[in-house]
Amino acid sequence: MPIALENVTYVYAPDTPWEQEALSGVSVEVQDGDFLGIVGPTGSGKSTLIQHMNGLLLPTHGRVLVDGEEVGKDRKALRALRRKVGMVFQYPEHQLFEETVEADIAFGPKNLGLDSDEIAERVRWAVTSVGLPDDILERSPFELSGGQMRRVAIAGVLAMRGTVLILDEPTSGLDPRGRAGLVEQLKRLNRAGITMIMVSHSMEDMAQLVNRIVVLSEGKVVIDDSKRAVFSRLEDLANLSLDVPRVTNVMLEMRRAGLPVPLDVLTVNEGIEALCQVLRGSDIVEE
Amino acid sequence: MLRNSVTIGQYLPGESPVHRLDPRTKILGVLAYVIILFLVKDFLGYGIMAIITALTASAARIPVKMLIRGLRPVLFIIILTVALNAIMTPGEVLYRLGPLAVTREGLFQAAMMACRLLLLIVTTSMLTLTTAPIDLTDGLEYLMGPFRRIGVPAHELAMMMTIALRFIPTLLDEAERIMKAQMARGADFQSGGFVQRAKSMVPLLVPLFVSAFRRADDLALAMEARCYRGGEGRSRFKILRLGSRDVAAGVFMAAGFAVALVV
Ligand SMILES: Nc1ncnc2c1ncn2[C@@H]1O[C@H](COP(=O)(O)OP(=O)(O)O)[C@@H](O)[C@H]1O
Ligand SMILES: [Mg+2]
Repeated sequence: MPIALENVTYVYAPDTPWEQEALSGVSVEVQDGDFLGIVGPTGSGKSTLIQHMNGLLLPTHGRVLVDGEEVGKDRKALRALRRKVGMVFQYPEHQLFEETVEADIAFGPKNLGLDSDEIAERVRWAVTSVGLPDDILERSPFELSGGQMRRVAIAGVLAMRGTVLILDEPTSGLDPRGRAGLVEQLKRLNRAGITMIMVSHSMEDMAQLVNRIVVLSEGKVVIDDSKRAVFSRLEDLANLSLDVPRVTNVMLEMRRAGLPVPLDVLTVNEGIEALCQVLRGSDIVEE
Repeated sequence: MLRNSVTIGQYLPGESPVHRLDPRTKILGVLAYVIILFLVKDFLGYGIMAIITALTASAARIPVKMLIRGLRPVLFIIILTVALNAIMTPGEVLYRLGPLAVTREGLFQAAMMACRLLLLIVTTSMLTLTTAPIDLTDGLEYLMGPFRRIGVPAHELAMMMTIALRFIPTLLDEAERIMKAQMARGADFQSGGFVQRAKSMVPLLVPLFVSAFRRADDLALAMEARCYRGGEGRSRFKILRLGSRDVAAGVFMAAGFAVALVV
């Protein structure tokens, strides 16, 4: 289910003193199976952009095409769209409300009008997909740890079984282990065929997960390219006060110090390998 | 957007002479205005009151659109009041529909009521539009000061109001965010009968209250961490002072009110 934004402009609170153009002429395309990353400084319009992808916001100008159909033409199609394109908002744990984890995850499937067997099946699948144990189902979501609440909330969206999943800063505020676990599960979901779109401040997460990155600044797309190509534009990223993964920085420093290491290194493992190769090829090791 | 449909209690930052008036002048002015509004008994009087409002609005440079937007949420109440007045007042019958009769006196009464309500809402919303919430509660605290002697907790009331005003937009934003999150899970807040709709509010209200309490906890902690312990002995960052501008505003209002009462 490809998603395409064509020249989308979005204005908050039009015709008031609080009028604010959050997106100006943005065009972005997402193909099936993609893992798209969206980065940009705070207030650059990332959250506004992703809400166009499942019809929670409709463009002021321009149009959004999902599966070739223009979004917003009729209301019924809008609800169907929201079933297919799941959306995990920032701090999704703030949307939990049921007495048990099970009931909360079942909220979405229930709204779809599924029978109870199907609902139970989906709840179990969703809870496993986010790496939580089965016995958590009986507990109250409000007595869980922050990281567990986050997973429950994501499971609640997964249980809708959409073909596209959008996540707004899913790892922010998680401890390193929670973060690593979540990254792993997101990777697996994408491999299972779900198209993923993720907003994140963490370049580490981007390096591990996405294949394409869109960089937003002041409501405009400034870079839209493959992950490696984006991370090689160090100055552009620095100008937007965005980082590159720490490994990439380490490589850069080594290059400056005179070692002929490659710069398009994104993960620690790649870094180790590249370094070993350089060292083997030179005579530093032998000394 | 939820936030933009609620004008009551909203502040429109500006540098106009009305913005720069002492909040106490504005509060007392509005108070007097409301009292006069209920004393005035004919349309000429309302006309004068409307002129006072219009002059103030233009001095404050508030767009007319904003004022009209503020009326939308209370339109229903106005219509209801007008309708009830038109049919409930005994007198010379103009039109009869079953047991209901529209009377000449009723129509007159209804028109008066409509004028009164419209002016009341527009003028009071002008107070919050031109006064920052902090100034508003500061002013109220000063004005309530003398009543402390008879046990009115002036500072606490003012602080409560400051906090409430501060959090209205925050909670509206929050409500909007939660609503969208639940809509993304297939929730439907718009269709269905009354019971259905009331039920559909649960997934919105529970998280909203949870978050309101969390915010309250955080705020209380933050205030205590900075040694807040009530109004006793607390010094002020901003001292209110009446100036020549306030005298001018006072004279203008007094003159206007006098004319409205006399004609
Ligand atoms: N509900 C809203 N009402 C008015 N303005 C908003 C709203 N949400 C976001 N904005 C404004 O739109 C701009 C983009 O916001 P957002 O999309 O949330 O950015 P990001 O997610 O990149 O931080 C910001 O300037 C923000 O203040
Ligand atoms: Mg955001």
